[in-house]
Amino acid sequence: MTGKGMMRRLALCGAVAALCLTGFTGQSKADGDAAGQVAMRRLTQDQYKQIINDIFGPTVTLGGRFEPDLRDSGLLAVGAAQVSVTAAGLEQYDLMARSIATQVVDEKHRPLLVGCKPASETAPDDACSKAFLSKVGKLLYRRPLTQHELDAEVAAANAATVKTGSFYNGLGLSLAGMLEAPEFLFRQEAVEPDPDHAGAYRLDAYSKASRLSFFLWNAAPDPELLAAAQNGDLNSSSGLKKQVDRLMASPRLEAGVRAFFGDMLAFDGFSTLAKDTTLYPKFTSQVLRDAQEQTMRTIVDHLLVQKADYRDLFTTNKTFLTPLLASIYKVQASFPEGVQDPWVAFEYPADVPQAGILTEASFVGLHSHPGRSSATIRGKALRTVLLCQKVPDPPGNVNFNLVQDTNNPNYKTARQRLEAHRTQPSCAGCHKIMDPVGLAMENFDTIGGFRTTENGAPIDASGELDGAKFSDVAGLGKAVHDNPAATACIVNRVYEFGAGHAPNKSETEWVRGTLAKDFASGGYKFTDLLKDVATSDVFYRASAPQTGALDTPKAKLASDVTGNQEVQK
Amino acid sequence: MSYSDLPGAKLRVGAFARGLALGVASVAAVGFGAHSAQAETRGYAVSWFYMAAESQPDDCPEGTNMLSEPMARKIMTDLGKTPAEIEAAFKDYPSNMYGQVVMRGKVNGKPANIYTNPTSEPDPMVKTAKGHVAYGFNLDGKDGPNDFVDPQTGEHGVDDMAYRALGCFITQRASGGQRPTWPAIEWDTTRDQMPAWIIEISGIERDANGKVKDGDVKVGFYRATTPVTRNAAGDPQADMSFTVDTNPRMQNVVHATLHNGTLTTDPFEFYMIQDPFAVAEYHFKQTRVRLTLNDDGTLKGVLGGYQPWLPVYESFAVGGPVNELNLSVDAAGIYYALKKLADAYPDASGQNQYISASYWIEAVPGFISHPNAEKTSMVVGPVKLAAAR
Repeated sequence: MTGKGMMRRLALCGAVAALCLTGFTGQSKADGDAAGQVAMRRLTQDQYKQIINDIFGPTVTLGGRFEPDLRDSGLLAVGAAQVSVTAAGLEQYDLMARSIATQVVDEKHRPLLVGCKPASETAPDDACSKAFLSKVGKLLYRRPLTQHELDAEVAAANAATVKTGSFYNGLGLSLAGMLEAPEFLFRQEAVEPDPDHAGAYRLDAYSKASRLSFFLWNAAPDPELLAAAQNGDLNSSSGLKKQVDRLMASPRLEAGVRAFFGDMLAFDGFSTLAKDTTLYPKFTSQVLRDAQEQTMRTIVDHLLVQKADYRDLFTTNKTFLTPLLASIYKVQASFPEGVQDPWVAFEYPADVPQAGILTEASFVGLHSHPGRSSATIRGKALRTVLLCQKVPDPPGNVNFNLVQDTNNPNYKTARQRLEAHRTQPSCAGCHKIMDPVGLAMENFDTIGGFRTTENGAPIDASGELDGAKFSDVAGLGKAVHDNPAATACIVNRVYEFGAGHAPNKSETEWVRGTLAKDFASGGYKFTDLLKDVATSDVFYRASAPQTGALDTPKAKLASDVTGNQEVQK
Repeated sequence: MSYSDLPGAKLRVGAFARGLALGVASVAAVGFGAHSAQAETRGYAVSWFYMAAESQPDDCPEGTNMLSEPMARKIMTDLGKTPAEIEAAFKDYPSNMYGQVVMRGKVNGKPANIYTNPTSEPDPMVKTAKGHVAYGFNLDGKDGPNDFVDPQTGEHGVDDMAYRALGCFITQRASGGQRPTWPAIEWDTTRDQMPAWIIEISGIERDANGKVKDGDVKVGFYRATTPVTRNAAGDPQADMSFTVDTNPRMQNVVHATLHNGTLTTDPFEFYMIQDPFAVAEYHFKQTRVRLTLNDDGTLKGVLGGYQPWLPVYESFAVGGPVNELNLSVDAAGIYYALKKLADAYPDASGQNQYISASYWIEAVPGFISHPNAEKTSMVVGPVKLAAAR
């Protein structure tokens, strides 16, 4: 690495640390309850990959690894506002940035991706550099570059060109720098006074475009959305609605819905999920991938294609299967020949005990031990993930011996073991809210296979959820379906996912009031919920800038210099 | 117990979304013959199919046939190589040897490929098994001096001349339920690529305790349209779904009698395609099969019948020197042994074209559907076999 490159990285590291330390929320505690927070959220792995794919196409590949995301308040989307970049993480971003930039300017890609040709390939060319860096910079930063930023990038490209003797190397080094910049790696939200509400603030148009695009597509704004931000359309109700309608009509909405549910259902846990393959040889890495995809397909079909009631996800007998999943569930299905990794739609008979996505391997398998099921973990997951309820952590001095010994002839089933375990007073309190729920899923082993006995003893899958009693897992599904906490939870989670924070007092009033009621009166249609959030003023409200916070949002944009026109391409 | 075991469960595939058109596949409650509508149909995917052996310590009284290295030395010596040349060849054994052993035959005084011309060298008189213990069936209804006793059933007069021909090659020997090395390798190597062999047993009835009742069942042996899938242990994944290949060459349906959880078929003709790496095409006459329905849902048993001996030879010859020098087999010796010990269906010259043989079948549970039931025939057509040399 050149000395200049090292200096640039060190500067970046310092900048990121500084930004993260200040939080860049623009929020003061005093007005925290009066308006929405703004946040600085680190791009998730999927978002980073999607942006690179959108800008440079699928032939530009990524190398390196991403830092783990942080789950906060039940969502990675909220945790993204709490994370920084470590020195090791920066090394990885640097690797990826240089790899991507090198590919973009290589002989194969440059005609399409760079777009212009320098007068000389061995000398700086301001016009070509400026055209490329302003175009790409706008997409990377989700706003036009400020004149200062653009000048600095062109100057960096020129200096690197002189140093390396190659225009494209110079351009690539400048691009790499942008790919490591906090303006790219973090979704920085900027606020401006709300002209319709004296003294109030709102997200500025570009921040609004980003929040909307990441919410619905899990991707950066496309050129059309950025144009709507630039020309002010996004600040009008009709302009916003037009863009929301466009984004929701796009096939890319599926990516957004997948991102939300992957986050809410904690699918990041699959990256470390392991099963004892001696006991469960059917469980392979392909099963692990298929299990996640099964639930995603079920959700996407149910909510986006069928536009069905969200609550029915816990009772539906319709799903999708691969050959491996069919073997896990021990059901017969027909698959098309000659198709790699085929998926088919599948419908369980009405009288088979199952409960929609609750009894798919992605839920019962993810929330189990490697070698055995866990009624407790499943019960806790159902309450915390799907009902947004809190379950206290276990005390530190728990004796798990009785629960873990599945070979004890006196306690053949999980119910028997847990009943014995609950005789310990310190355990009983929490177990009574988890176990009656989790035991209803005991007909499913740790990888999702159906069973009616454990150690030769029949499994009793009866239980109770917040007063609703049931005799099997189908009854549990119905109880979740009818539980008001399930719909309140999804409404809250959707808002949190988009906003990047738990709703404050004023947001909560709207979320629990208008938003929840509209969701119910519309028949719990998920797309209606997305649209209501995306078109609401509340979603884009912001608190006043915090004194002393970084002033990047107010920096002079290059477009301002050129009379609200984009920087020359 | 799985979903399909639940009372009244009839799982179905539905095209409810995105226009996926799928066939209908049922699992349970398939009637057969005079059985009640409660009779079960069970599907299986064959996990192993290999030549059976229950080798005895004394069934090769003159010892087993030569291992690869001494055999290679003998071949080189017979070819007139000097000791120095032989030692030089052994410096990178067996790679250095492959090319030299191929052309060890002589036709009209010229070197000939021994694998395509096994009679281009005199009969090396390989040792053959002399014992009287082998799995299988009394196929011809006689109990002669060359016949065996089945250690599992105690049946006398068992015909398994293939074991007699091959049983003194160490890679064909096994006992105590082990799989003989080479037949196991053959199957294990081919099953990832070749469409799965599947078995369907219909007409199974159970008593009030769930125990399989004695009675009549129907057994179908088919090939599927897709291979088995391996699980994390490297074994075939259980409970996979298979569709029957409707090629009439691979439809074998036969009546069987269930007794104490083991079914035994009536005699029938068996046709099945495997893979050119092993026996490309199996054809058994007067086939008998017994299969035990194990409590863990698996199936295991024995197939016995008369099969053409030439494809058995070809399964050794196809690998040429690689097989010979790694598996300690003598391809030409096997040719002569099979030919001499073939015991059924003589041609016009009196040379028997078929040899009695026994194979183990192991299978895991699976789901089987018939896409074109009306085209699935119990009648199998003639299979073109390579003319015996």
